[in-house]
Amino acid sequence: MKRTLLSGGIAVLAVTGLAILAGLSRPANMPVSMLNAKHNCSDCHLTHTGKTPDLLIGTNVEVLCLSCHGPAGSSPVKAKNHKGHTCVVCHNPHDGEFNRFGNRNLKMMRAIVTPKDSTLQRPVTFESRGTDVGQPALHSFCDKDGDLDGVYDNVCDTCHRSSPDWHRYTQASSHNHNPGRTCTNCHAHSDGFKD
Amino acid sequence: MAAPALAQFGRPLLVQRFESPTRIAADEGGRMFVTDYDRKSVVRIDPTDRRYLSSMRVDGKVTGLAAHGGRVYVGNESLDRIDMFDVSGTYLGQFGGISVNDPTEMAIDGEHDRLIAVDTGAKCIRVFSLEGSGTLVSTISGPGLANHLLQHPTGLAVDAAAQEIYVADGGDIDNLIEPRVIIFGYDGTYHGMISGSGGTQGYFFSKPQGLALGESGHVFVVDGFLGRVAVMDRATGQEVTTIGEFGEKVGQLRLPLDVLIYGENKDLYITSNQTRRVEVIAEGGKK
Ligand code: HEC
Ligand code: HEC
Ligand code: HEC
Ligand code: HEC
Ligand code: HEC
Repeated sequence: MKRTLLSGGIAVLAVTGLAILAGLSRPANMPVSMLNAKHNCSDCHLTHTGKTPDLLIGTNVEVLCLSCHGPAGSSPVKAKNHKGHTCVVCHNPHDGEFNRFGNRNLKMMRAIVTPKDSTLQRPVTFESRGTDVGQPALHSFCDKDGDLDGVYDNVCDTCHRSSPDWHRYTQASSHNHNPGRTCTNCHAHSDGFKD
Repeated sequence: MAAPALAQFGRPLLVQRFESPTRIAADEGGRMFVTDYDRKSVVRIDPTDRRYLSSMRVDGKVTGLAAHGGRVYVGNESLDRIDMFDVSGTYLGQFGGISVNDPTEMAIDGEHDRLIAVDTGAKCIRVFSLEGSGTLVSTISGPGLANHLLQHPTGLAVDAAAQEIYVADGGDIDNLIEPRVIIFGYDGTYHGMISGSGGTQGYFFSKPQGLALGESGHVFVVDGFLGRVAVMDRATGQEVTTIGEFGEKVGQLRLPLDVLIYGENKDLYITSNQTRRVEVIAEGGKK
């Protein structure tokens, strides 16, 4: 795959020789120029094999992601589900969403996450990967509501915040468990953020 | 197309023993092994009654696997190297003396003293001499855009008689390089390829993974994404048949990653990573 940001629409793709995708039209909510730079359309779509209206090349979105990001996959970057949440609960495969501050989240994170068994739509702000010296790391994994607007909207604490959901930063349910730090250095995505 | 019936490998084995079955291999004595990526272990199973025998602990996530001469060779993804064990699980040290970025799959040709590994991270094939703790003999086909150069190599199989290496490669469709299987001589010369593109459905295979070589030029290609095994004819480049179907039920495949043709009956063993099973198709390797 190319590592350059696609700068135009389908016309550009066709010019670059991607005639097979010429039949794809862009979803209204997806500015093509905002497709994540690490992917190209054909990583996930092929028109003449698309079996679903989405023109995905086959079976299932999670398996699609895992065929590259799972064991023995071609991407060096590995990931696993988190507590029953599949990839697209957290990620937008097309990227390009705007968070509530009008910015784009890192790593194709959605602007709104709906946790399983819940109808709550949680805003996500993920503009910093934190630091290993901890906070302040505004709008990172958990910044203890660093912008003081009363909303825990960072990428981990959007779910891991106070009741009725899963808090559990510590047994005492405080937010003092490594706020501002790069959580994934200890809780690796390749282990489902578990270990 | 109706899927052929698949025999289940055994639910007890699945529940207790596999978390993330990845590659499967057997040695010349018939011992069978499976790597478990998330459990960081290699599981030895008894092919006659499909029983769990033992498991060996690896210091890292494991993918690639080969077994020969009383040794088990394991691709350690976390530590970027190939590890050696004896069949009882005793660690014998690092193999090959070099760092292998992502040793996703391996195969052995004992007759010609070769261990051949896919380095998915470095996008190349590493050819080692097997002797002792191994020495690198050559490296085949670094990344590049020419059609026969590797783009995203994942799986491999070796034809010892012909001294050929079959490599599953995801291609790079944006540069119009389709998923394919590329065939090299041991010396790295290009001998041909089987394209994943074609047929009525457009693709014979889209995300090729493990490979196995059957009779009369038939190449078994696991498709991790489409959840099936494409049996390809090397001579014509066409599909002979497909085996298996995508799904979660017993007998179906969800992120299958490897195939092994085993024993006199040529039973076909398939690791189905996301269902945590190994499926067995009696005489499937005769297709
Ligand atoms: C990382 C994988 C991935 C990449 C890359 C990708 N897509 Fe998609 N696409 C998907 C998935 C998954 C869906 C289905 C979304 C759903 O069901 O919610 C989809 C759906 C679609 C749809 C139909 C549904 C809709 O939202 O209207 C179109 C059209 C589409 N993609 C076009 C494109 C184009 C054009 C590109 C390149 C600019 C592209 N996609 C790149 C994964 C991807
Ligand atoms: C054809 C293989 C392929 C498929 C399919 C694929 N990816 Fe990727 N993805 C990659 C590669 C390669 C990278 C770049 C990894 C690196 O940084 O070296 C990447 C990067 C990413 C990133 C990091 C982006 C960033 O900004 O750093 C995310 C998040 C991601 N993929 C999610 C997904 C999801 C979710 C899906 C399924 C909808 C998916 N990918 C499907 C190959 C793939
Ligand atoms: C609970 C939310 C969540 C789920 C579910 C999830 N991810 Fe992620 N993913 C994240 C977050 C947060 C990051 C950013 C991690 C970081 O920056 O350290 C991320 C990062 C990534 C990256 C880039 C990692 C890197 O080092 O650049 C990839 C690739 C990825 N995810 C793929 C997937 C795939 C594939 C799945 C499904 C199997 C998945 N994710 C499921 C939240 C999630
Ligand atoms: C979509 C909602 C969601 C997001 C986002 C999310 N989590 Fe979780 N997490 C959960 C749920 C649900 C549980 C299980 C809670 C329980 O069992 O009570 C959980 C549990 C955990 C656990 C405990 C694991 C175990 O095995 O007990 C850890 C550690 C964790 N999460 C880390 C993270 C980190 C780090 C992030 C951010 C990168 C994150 N989570 C983001 C929903 C989420
Ligand atoms: C220095 C390593 C480290 C970092 C950084 C770290 N954690 Fe943890 N985390 C742990 C360990 C160890 C445990 C288990 C022991 C405990 O409960 O404190 C844990 C436990 C958890 C749990 C489960 C608690 C429970 O009740 O079971 C959650 C949720 C969690 N961490 C989330 C996070 C989030 C979110 C971040 C980033 C803000 C983070 N962690 C950063 C090491 C770390």
